Amino acid sequence: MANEVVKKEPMFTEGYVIMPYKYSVGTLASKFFIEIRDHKKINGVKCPKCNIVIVPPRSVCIKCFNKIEDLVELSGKGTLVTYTVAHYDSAVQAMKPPYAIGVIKLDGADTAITHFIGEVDFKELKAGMKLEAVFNETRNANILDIKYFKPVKNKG
Amino acid sequence: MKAKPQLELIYLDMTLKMPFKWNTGEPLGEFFRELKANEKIYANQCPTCGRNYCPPANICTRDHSRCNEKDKWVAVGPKGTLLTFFICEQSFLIPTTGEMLEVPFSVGLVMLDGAPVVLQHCLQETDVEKIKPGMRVEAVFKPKEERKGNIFDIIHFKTIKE
Amino acid sequence: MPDRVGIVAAAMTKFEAAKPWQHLAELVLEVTDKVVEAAGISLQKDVESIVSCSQDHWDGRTISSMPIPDVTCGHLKDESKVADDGAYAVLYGAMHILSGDHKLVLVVSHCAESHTDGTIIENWSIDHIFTRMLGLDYTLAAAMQARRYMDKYGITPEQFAKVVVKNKGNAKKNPYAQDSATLSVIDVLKSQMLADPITVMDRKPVSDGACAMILATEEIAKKLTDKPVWIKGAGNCYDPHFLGDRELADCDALETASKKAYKMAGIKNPVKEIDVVELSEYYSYQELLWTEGLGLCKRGEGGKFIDSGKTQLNGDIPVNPSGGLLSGIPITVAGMSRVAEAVWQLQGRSGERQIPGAKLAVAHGCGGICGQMHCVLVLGN
Repeated sequence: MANEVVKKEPMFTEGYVIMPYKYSVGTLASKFFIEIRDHKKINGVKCPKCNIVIVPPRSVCIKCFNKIEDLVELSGKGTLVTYTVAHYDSAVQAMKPPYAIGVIKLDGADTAITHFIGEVDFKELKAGMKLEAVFNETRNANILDIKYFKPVKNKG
Repeated sequence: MKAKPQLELIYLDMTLKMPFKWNTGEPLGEFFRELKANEKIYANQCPTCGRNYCPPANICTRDHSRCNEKDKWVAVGPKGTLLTFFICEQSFLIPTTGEMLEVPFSVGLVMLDGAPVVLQHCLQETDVEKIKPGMRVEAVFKPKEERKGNIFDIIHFKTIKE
Repeated sequence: MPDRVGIVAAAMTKFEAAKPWQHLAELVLEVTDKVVEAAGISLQKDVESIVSCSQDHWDGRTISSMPIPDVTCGHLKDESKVADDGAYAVLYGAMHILSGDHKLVLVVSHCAESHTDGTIIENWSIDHIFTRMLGLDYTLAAAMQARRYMDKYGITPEQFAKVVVKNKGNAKKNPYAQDSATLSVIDVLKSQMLADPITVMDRKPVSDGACAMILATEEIAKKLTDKPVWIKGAGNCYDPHFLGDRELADCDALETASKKAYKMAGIKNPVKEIDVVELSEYYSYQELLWTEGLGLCKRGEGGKFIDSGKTQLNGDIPVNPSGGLLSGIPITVAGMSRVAEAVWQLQGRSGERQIPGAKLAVAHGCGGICGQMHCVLVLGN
């Protein structure tokens, strides 16, 4: 078939797939985002049965599937688990490259969250480094209310 | 589970927007080339069962026979007879453009002259009192310089009197 | 009820960065034609059920399987779709047969990645509440997994690069492969850095194509071919979605999936018993990590394993003699193409990339962020 039309131009139909969404985040995540927006506090959840602390919060324990209803406050400080530096642009990126993004285990939590790492020399990025959350001035009750995590400067 | 009335509930607004450039492949590509260059609408026929396709198909969806030989294509339309139609009065977001649909908006199934094939396209007439199955319609093409080789090279089918 | 499922024939398109002369259904038509001819069956009379694998977002429409029956003679037949990875379509096709419902099943997968911007789809597959707004995509997530793997076990970017060198080199012997090249480790390390440590060569290229297979009951498979390939074992397993819920340097889900599949197939010592492995490495480091998950080496020894040369085309246990995903295979087709390659190896149809005397093969499909889900199939003749 391709042979018959090889001298012609291939044809395309161009367009978009555009779909607007308004997600309800649910009760627990609403509380999580409101605590960040109103008090600059990052919360996790603690499973009342197996006692693990999960962040971002889930309404069901990821280990024992017990129901979880209440948040526990975390310090906003944590440890870098892993990271990368993005050097390429894409249609979905929220930051201009180069920027660092990592998986951060907050003190007292058993799971880790993904977020940006700012105010850092990329060469100094290292698993295990201590980080603390920096919040945006204007906060809209979403994950970008946390501006990024930055290295904790004062040792000890 | 009922939310406690005093709790503020958070919503996140996000819009998925993906740019697409779909290959039309063949013989659909040739159908669009003919629309664009010659204002011609083509159909073809399954050599086994005689079923007609518009736009032309490369295989018969009933018996899987090949039917993509261009010399067996027949030009159909641009006139035809309306089989059925709908009129949309409720606007909605058109996902391929992101724009709201202008209403009223009508679409018909048109049995094209020349072969027993049906093409689905927009109708110029949107007044329900003025549309009747069985009425005669004719394809209105965009001016040549505006045609891009897609189905909207036909603007719509207008009502004609014969 | 039948107790064995035979794969009668497999077919693929050539994989290319774009295939502008074919629309999506025509990709399926091409492989359907090929596989029906190879199996020597009638599409109308013999095929009872069609299981396809495609994804709505990649196709830019809902119900991406809608055009499949048109080109597979599927009208008024049993038709179903898997949206994850093509290896799962093979698994579900086999289940159709094992259930006793159908005797002969066509499985197909297609994707044209060239039609849109895949990073948007990756981003939209990620948790929408806590993560998506960060702009995370699979490459950034993979880079974080690769980094964790390096940190925990001392694996190096040079060892990742060896996978690219091996697979792109193997692809030269594969007429279906999109990209093949004679490369050095330095070439890979010096290529454009996307997200440290992943370079553009460490990532699978954008690709278009399709794959198909005919599955049948033991009785019918034996009638249709003197080289039936049997599905001897299967296992699949999911990891949590959130990266922070997992130990990214280990692939627990793949370990579980492969153990299930090996147990079913009666494999006790995978590295000794298996002749050839075709796995889904979307990024070079994944081949090392997946060889660990498949039990071919111990945890943390994926780097040493590539260094040993055992996974080379002429090694003890060749991994991706086809060139793997790094040579260019689209998502959704990926896992099914691994199965098809394994089938060809066992049927002795692999041409220059044939592993002599291959009798037992493992095919692996995976999907999701950082290999969240894995499907392992053990095939033998």
